This record gives sequence, C-alpha cells and structure tokens, in this order.
Amino acid sequence: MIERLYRLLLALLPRDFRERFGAEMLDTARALDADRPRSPRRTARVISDAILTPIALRAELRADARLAGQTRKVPMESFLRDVRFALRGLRREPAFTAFVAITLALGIGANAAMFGIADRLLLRGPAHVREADRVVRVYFTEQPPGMRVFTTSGFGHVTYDLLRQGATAFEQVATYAINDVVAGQGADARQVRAGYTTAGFFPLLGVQPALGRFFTEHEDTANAAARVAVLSHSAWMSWFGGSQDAIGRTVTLGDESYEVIGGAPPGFTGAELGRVDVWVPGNVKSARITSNWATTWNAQWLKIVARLKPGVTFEQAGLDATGAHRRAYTGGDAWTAEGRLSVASLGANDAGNDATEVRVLRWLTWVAALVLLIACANIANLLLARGKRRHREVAIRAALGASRLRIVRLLLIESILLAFAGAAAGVVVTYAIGGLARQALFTSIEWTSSPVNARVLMASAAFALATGLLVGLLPALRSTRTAGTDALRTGPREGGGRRSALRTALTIVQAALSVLLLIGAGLFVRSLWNVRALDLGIDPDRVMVIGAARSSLARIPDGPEREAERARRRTFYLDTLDRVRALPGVEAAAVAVGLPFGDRFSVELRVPAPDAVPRLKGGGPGVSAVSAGYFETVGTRLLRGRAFTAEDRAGTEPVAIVSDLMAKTVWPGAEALGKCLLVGSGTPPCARVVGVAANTYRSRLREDPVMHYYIPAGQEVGFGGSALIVRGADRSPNLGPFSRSSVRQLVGIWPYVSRSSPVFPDEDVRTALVADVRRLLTGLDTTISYISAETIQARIEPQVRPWTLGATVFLLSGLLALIVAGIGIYSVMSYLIADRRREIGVRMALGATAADIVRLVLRGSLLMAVVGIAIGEVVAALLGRFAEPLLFETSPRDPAVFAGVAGLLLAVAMAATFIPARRARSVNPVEALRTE
Amino acid sequence: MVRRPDPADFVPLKRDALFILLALAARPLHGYGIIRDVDARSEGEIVLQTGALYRTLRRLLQDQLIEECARPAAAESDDERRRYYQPTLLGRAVLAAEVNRMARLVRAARLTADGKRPRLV
Repeated sequence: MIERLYRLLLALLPRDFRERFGAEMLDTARALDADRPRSPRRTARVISDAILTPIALRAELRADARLAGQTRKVPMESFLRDVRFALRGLRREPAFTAFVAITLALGIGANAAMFGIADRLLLRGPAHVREADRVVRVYFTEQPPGMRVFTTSGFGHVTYDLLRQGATAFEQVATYAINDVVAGQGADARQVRAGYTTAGFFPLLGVQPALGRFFTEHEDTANAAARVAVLSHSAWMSWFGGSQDAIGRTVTLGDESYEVIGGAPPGFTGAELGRVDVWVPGNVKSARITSNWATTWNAQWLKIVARLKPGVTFEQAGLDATGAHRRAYTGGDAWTAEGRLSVASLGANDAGNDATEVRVLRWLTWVAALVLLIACANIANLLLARGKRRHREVAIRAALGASRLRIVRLLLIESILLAFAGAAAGVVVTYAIGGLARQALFTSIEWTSSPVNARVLMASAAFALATGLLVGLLPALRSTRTAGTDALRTGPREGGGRRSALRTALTIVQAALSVLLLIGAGLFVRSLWNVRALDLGIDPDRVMVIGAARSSLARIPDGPEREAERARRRTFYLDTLDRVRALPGVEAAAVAVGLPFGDRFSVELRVPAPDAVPRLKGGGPGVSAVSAGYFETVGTRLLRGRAFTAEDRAGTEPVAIVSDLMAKTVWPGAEALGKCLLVGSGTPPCARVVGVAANTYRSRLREDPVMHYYIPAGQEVGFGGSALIVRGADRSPNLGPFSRSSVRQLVGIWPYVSRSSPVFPDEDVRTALVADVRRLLTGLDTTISYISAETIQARIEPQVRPWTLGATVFLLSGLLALIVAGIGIYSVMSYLIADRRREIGVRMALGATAADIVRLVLRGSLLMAVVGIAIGEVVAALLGRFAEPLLFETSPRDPAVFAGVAGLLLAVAMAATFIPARRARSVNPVEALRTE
Repeated sequence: MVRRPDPADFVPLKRDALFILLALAARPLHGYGIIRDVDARSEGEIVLQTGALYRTLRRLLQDQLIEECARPAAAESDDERRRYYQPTLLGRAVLAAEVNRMARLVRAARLTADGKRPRLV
C-alpha cells in the first residue's frame, strides 16, 4: 500500500524531480516499509508526507524560480490559491462547515463501508485466487419424478473423474468439501473447520504456500502412507505461534494425527469466503465415508471447482460438462441421466444462486445510496441558500474580471473540499458501520483486513469527489448565472423576490426519500414482530441440544467387542439421563432422535382403518423417537392422553403420540387416542396412539403445516442419531446490560427488547451449564472427544436474520434520513423567512396578527412535507412488490405503516418549522421595512 | 565573475538538512541509509519520511552541498538503483559553520542560565 501511495505521489511531482529521484524514492519507501512495523501513527506520518511533499516541493521550486528571475507560472499556483481561499471561507463559517461535514460523513461513510463489503464479496472474491473470472463452481440440476426441479453443488468422485476425462472446456478440475472436525485431544479439543481437497485444488486457484508446501497427488490417494495437513495462516499463527518449526509437527484431527507440511497465506479461504482452519487431502476422507466412493453415483459430499480454458463461456462449459455427464452416467435413475450440469462464478451459493450475503449486500447498498442521496439533496440545498447570500461577492468577482469558469471552479473547489472533510470524518462512520455489519450480518465470512483499508479509503475519496461535484455544480452554476452588474446594483431585496423553487424541490425529494426508508423500516419491523410472535409449538429459548463426538468405532477390532461398544453408545444418553437431570440448573432433560429445526426423519407408515395416510403439501408425516420428559423439555403442550414414561422403551409395548394436525387429518372427526399406527415395516404389532401433542414447526419459519408423530426412544427402527436435550432453569431473566450477547441482541432487535424473552438465561449461566454437562459426560465416557452444545433458538436465528437485518438497517437509516430531512426543512424555512422579512413586515404593518404569520410559515413547510409524503408513499407502493417476498405475513402496503410514517414526517416538519416560525412572528415591521 | 559561495550564506540549516549532512559527513550513504542513520543519530526523534528526504536532498544537491559518489566497496546492498551521496567541500564547510553557530548559541544559553549577561553572538 505504501509503495502504491508513493507511486501515486510521484505522478503528482514535477517531471524533472520524478525523473531524477523517482526510482530511488520508491526503493527507499519500500525498504522503509519492509523495515518497520506498521502502526496507525506511522501510516499517518507516511500519508501526511505524501500529501505535503508535492505542495512543499512546488513551493520550493517556485521560490527557486523567483530567485533565478524566472517568471514562468506554475499552473498549480492559481489552483492552490483557490484552495486556500476556499479553506479560509469555510473556516469563517465553522457551524456551517461542521454541519455539512457531518451530514456528508454519514452518507459517504455508509457508502464506503458498503464498498468495503462489496469489494470482498463481489469485486475481489476469495483471496489469492488468480484470474478469478475463469474459476467456477459446478452445479447439477435435475427433476426427480413428483418433485420440484432442484439444483445442487454436491457431487461424487465420479463426476470429478468424468469432468477431467470427458470434458474439454476445463483447464483444471478439483474437488473440495468443508466440514467441522475435532482438533486436539482431551481438554484441548476444539471444533475447527477442515477443508478436504484434491491436490489439484491449490494450483487450480493459483495460491502459493506461505510456509512449506501444499500436498501432492501422491499424498491424496486413499491409502497414502502419511497423513499430511496444510494449516491456514491464522491456525498456523494460533496453534504454532507462526513459527517456521510448525513444519513436521503433528495436529490431531478426529482420531488421526496429521503431519503439518505447509501453511496457506493470510486470508486464503479456498473457493468460498468462510473460514477454513486446516486443509487435508480429500480422497482420504472420501474413503472413510464409503468403500465404493470412487465409483458410486449416489454420493454428494464433494463440491467441484474448475478453471475454464481461456475464452470458454459459462454456457459452453455447462453444455460440455452436461455432455460428458450424459455419456458417462451409468447409474439407474432416468432423471439423473437427463440432468444438466452448469457452472457459476465463485460468488454463488450452494444452489447456484446469489449467496444470501450478496442479496443482503444489495439491499444495504441501496439503503446506503439513498442515505447519501438525501444528504446530497440537503447539502445542495444549503449551498444554494449560501450561494444566494454570496450573490454580491460573486458579482464583485465577476466585475473585477474573473471569468465565470473561474468562479464556478472556486465554488466547486469549495464543495469538493467540504465533501472531502465529510469523507475524512466519514472514516469513523465507515469503521463503525463496516465493523458492525461484519459482526452482525456477514458472520460467515473470514475478514482479513480492517473495515477501513487502502481500497476503502480510495473509494471514499472517489465518493467525496463525486459528491462534491454533485452537490456543488448546480448551486455554482446558479449563483453565477446572473450576468453583469445587476446583482451589484440592487440589494438582496430584489434578489430575494422569487422563491427558490429548486430548493423547495430538493426539500421535497428529501422528505420523499425519508418516507421511502421509513416505510421500509415499518414493514420490516412488522415482519419481525410477526416472526417473533409466531407460536412454534416449542419453547426454543432455553433448550440446549447436546451432541458428543467420539473416537471411531473402527479402532475396536471387528467382532462382539465392537458390537457391545456400539450398543453401549446407542443407549448412553438414556443411561445418563437421570444424572443429567440431577445437575444444578437443569430443569428438564430428555433424549430425542429428530428435533424441530434439526434432523428430520420419515419412515414408512400405514394406518389400518383408513388404510392411507393423506398427503399434505408440507410432506411427512415425520417421526421422532423421544424419551420420557421430552415434551416438558422442549415445551410442547400435550393436548390429550399421556406422555411417554420411562416404561416406554425398547421391547415394551409400541406406543405413539401424534400431532394435533395428524390426528385431525388421519382420523377426521374421530378420536385418535387408541388408534393404531403401523410404523416402519408396516406390519403388526401396532403402535397404539396414547397421546395427542400440539403442532410444532419442524424446520422452517415459513413452512406448510406438517404432520408429525412421536415414538418412544429405543423403539425406532431405520433411523437414528440421538441427541441429549437439556432445558436450563430460568435463573436470571435479567440480561446483564453490558454482556456481549445482550449488546449483540440490542443491535439486532432493540425495538423489541420489551417483547423478546432472553435467548438463554444468560451466556454465563449457559456456559456454566454446558461445562457441567460436559464434565459429567466425559467423566462417564472416556471415548468422548468433544461435546457440542447449541440452543434450538440458535438454529432458528439464521432464519430470522433477514428480518432482523432489514428492520435494523431500515430503521437506523430511516431515522437518520428523518433527522436530515428535518434539518433540511428547518434550514429552508429559515432562509425563506429571512428572505421574506420585508414581506412579513409589510403584512404585519397591514394588520396581520402573529398567528397569521405563523400560519403562513407553517403552511409552507407542511405543504412541502405533504407533497414529499405523497411522492414517497406512491413510490413505496409501487416498489412494494419487490419487497413482498422479503416480508413475513405483512402486506407491502400495510396501511398502519403508511399512515404512521406520514404522521411522523408531518410531526417532524412541524417541529422543524417551530423555531423559524417564532422568528417570523417576532419580526418588527418598522425595522424590517427600514433596513436595506 | 562568479562569486565563490560563502558557507555563511547557508546557515542556519534546516533541521533535516543538518542531520542529513551529519550523516553523510560520517560516510557516504544511500537514501534509506540516511533515514536509518538520522533515526539513530537523533535517538529516534527525527524519522525522515521518503518525500521529505528527497526534497531536502534535491535542495542540498542544487546548492552543491552534497554530490553523488561511487558506491562504497563495503556497501551492504549491490542494488543498482541505490545512489550514494557525500558532502562536497562546501557542504563540509557549511556543516562546520552551522555546528559552530550552534555551539556559540549553546554557550550563550548556558551563560544566561548561570545568571551572567550573555555575550552577543
């Protein structure tokens, strides 16, 4: 960056100097940069040096030239004089300058922050990818009978092979998969993200190792002798302190030791943007999943990334790959044989669409642009007013021989300087907004540079330049339009006769844009409200789902010993349930296979009497196997009958509990209790229905109602994978106001603080509870390597995020816009009244009362507000259909929101007019007529 | 007739120029070497930035207080781009004049501090 800065600097220096010293300077700057640690202080020094040098150097050259008797005019001179003049002018009006700078700081800062995020997500993509426009991910689209068309990026090794051998569009092909794995052992164990890749992955992307080397084809064979791993830069730093000695050391992943052979450069995240801690050969992992991994078509754990040959389009590549797939496919499914392969750039998500982050970003960018537009309208307005006051000054300059161009230039320099002051102050805004957005909204992305970096600063400067021109051009042209000496001759009396239609229009635009943002805010707030008010049929806040990772069974020799261990593990949670319940802070605990917002299971089911289970749009019925205490633990109400007890287990009478929806759908008009379900094979014995439970949402907040039934844990056949669920006691509903989690909550959903129940008593209590459970379980079972714990709420939260996000962003920017618009109305009204002092004086002299005057002023401002509201609401109504899919059970034309926003804006307009109106009322008619 | 430059015309030296001359008086240096030397010599108080350094070097070259010289045999780097500088005779004379001026200044200040009337310098 520093070198680039000096390159830029050189371009600004006189040519003689550049030719004599340029190369040397770069060399020195580079050496200096390499030698010293970066620090904000040093960066500031370098930047000020870079700014000062051309100015000071030119001054010196000029002085030399004068001494030498030369009078050659340096072209920069008049420019610099204008800059100095403009600076002096701005310094004389500190309040005006500060106000403009702060307003623009918000607008420019927000946009620079958005640029910083877009830069990584859209413009630059994953770091260290060479010629990224040719690097693509591969997708598969098919339509199985009776189902919707769907697109996936999951493949088996066969597709990788066929693309390498049967397709011609690709230069290189590689696979990768990213999974959580437990690293380390015992107390050190922690979950890390591992990337499983083929050896060709790194050369394909074009990344170079920062340490050691990447793995070879040979090390990536299923039965490779050595297990090798490449660390991410941050893992290398935190696990081995960044030491070169990391090479040859071992890391434990899962059950196995891997030898570290290299380290990736900082910020390398592969083909996606999420964090990856360690890279290991992928085929080793594939071989672990199934023995026929290399030949099966029924596998989808790999993602494929490819580099296109130069000149190959995405369409050509897709056709080529589809052809190769159809020639090679030997699986039996007709719809897969007819499936289509396609490619998309790295910005796409797993379904080949824009990633959620990209969609979020698009919204944010629009909102930020709106805020900047509002700020621009406001400042243009102020500059127009100011231009009017300076009418005479401009006229004098013109009379003294300054060309119009020269005066316009001076005024533009002024507005650009203001914009740069705004951009400078905006750095703080960028830092705050960028940091917040990264933490709250773009959590899955590995950020490697600060929210304010060189590129963001350059973007900021570009925004400032554009903003300065945008807000300055019109007022500058306006105020220089009056030709000749008219303006000199007459006083402002004549100059102020005509109201500035332009200024009124700008104020109306501000009001309309604010209305737009506020309606967005209102709609999202209502959506979020509706989401939070949704009765999920469970109480997800305090329910922790606990899972244990264990060492592999493969370590135990095949035989009765392994079977015994398998059986022990299967019933481990059930066996420990009583001890878990006895822990302090545990209100209830249960074991479940299949949880809301977790795994979803469905097995064959027949019902003897109607002999067919009706199909519902939502699918299902789904099944869970749950232990005694389940309903109490997750907070699902039991409507009739009984819950499972400890006596319902493997080997006892098969029983079932059905959801209300299932009871009503399968046995309409009849009592479900006592009925018979044939679960699994569909043969007797029946599972007798002993209870009816309330409906629950199963996996999405927006889902069609789905039938569900429960069978006792231990009686499940054909599905498995149990989890321990624990309901924490409600110890402290009081969120510590300064705890991290509550701050995070506040940022996201502060309007609902009064409504929202705490996610979990408190993070500390939860941590303590998890620690207790962890201690208990690892104490009872030494094969456990890692315990994961998560609330059900945490699993739901990503689904709520779009609304939280929309509400927060729109609300904050809407309020901001409202303030700016309020100030806009205030300033326009103030100037109008100042202009019309004489008129007001005349009116008062003719007998108008103070109330008349106030009414007059108020009418003006309310008219502006009403027109702004009308325009804003019409536009909002028209744009509504784009917002509709983003809202939750809220009409995009919700009358309450529209009315509320109108009322709010009117109130702000009234408030903004209050002071100017009072000032108008106190005009002394005699004085007003006498002056001028 | 060209008047021979008088060292007294160049004093007082600017701070950066003084330190650069001091550094070069010890041994020929290239740009980056000067920065390091000045940093050490001023005990970290003066950290020259690139632009400021070359501005001053241009000034010194133009005033013929320093000149470019051959790379010293013991140079640490054999980078072609690195140019080395040394003071001219005039430069050394100016440096001496400046140091002399400062010494007198310090003496005067000390006398004042001791309560005696300073001699005019």
